[in-house]
Amino acid sequence: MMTELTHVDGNAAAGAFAEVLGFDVTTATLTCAGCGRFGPFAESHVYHRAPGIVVRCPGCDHVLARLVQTPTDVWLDLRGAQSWHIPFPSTRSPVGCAPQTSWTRWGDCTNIAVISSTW
Amino acid sequence: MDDGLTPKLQWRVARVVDSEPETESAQTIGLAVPGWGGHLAGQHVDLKLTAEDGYSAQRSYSLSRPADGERIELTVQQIAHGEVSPYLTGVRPGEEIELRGPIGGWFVWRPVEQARILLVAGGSGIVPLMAMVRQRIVMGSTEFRLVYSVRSPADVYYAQELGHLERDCDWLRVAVVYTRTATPQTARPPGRVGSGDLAVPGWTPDDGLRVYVCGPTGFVESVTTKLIGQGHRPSALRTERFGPSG
Repeated sequence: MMTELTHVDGNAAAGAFAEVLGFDVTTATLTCAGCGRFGPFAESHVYHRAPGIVVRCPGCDHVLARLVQTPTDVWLDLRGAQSWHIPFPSTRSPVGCAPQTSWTRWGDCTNIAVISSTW
Repeated sequence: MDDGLTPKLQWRVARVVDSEPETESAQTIGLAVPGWGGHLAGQHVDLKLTAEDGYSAQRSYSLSRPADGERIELTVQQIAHGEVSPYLTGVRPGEEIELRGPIGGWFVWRPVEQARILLVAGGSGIVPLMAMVRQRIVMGSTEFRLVYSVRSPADVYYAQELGHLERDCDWLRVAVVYTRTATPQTARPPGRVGSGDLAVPGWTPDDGLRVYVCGPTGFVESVTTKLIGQGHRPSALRTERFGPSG
């Protein structure tokens, strides 16, 4: 008998992150600060049946990111990832070309509170 | 085509235009979304219901076909004792629902891609994969194979359309895998998807395949393990898992 798995994947958290960050996170490649594994946000394990969203590394279960929404704010904790490698939307690059990329390092961040004006 | 990733996602109000039963427990719902800019096959939307006291609940639902102007469509499986799905399967034309999307650029298929496509669906995981099939009808040039795992014949979504498409389209082959009850003419005994079900005749993992797997988390884990065991590269697999909350 298979134990019921309670996680889903990064696709399910994409709306909440996109609303705050303003870009599609599913195609971003995250490097885990715990084990060094890197992979797309879409393939991470997401636990969202709680007050917040917890994103975990599929390799070692280390927490990569947390997002908690209050009635007025969003709290975002991204310290569990060493880096986010974010491709620009494919519409900006011609078909067949490698997408341009930008790098953002979160290594020195602790809790980042992002105030969303839309809530 | 607008990939829907910019500008920033915001909640907007959609109006139900039609709602038809897909199976005994699933409903296909058409929504009109003012200003909808199109979406990619495989993308989803978040729906939000808000109670009078301000309590709100959100769920993600995959879009089941390419947009028709400002009309989008999704299929909702009613989950017993679920919080959102029983309401959605009962909505009537004219009612309004808050929605944001389209969401996700990973679990998508673009018609310009040349790779052969293997789709593996578990239950209502067929929805975003059906959007890819329907997109391929309109655009694209690649071969599709669909392995569709369902409990019984009565649980098959889009049954008639899939039957017609398989008959009329030489680029599509569909294998329905019954896990509990099969049709009398099905030779395969009912049971979970096995390695043999995932081996496409004439295709090998080296062919530059792209595989999309969508279903409950346990289904996706089981299928991807088998695919990797057959020699598929992890980088060729794209997965979407959904949980039991409804």
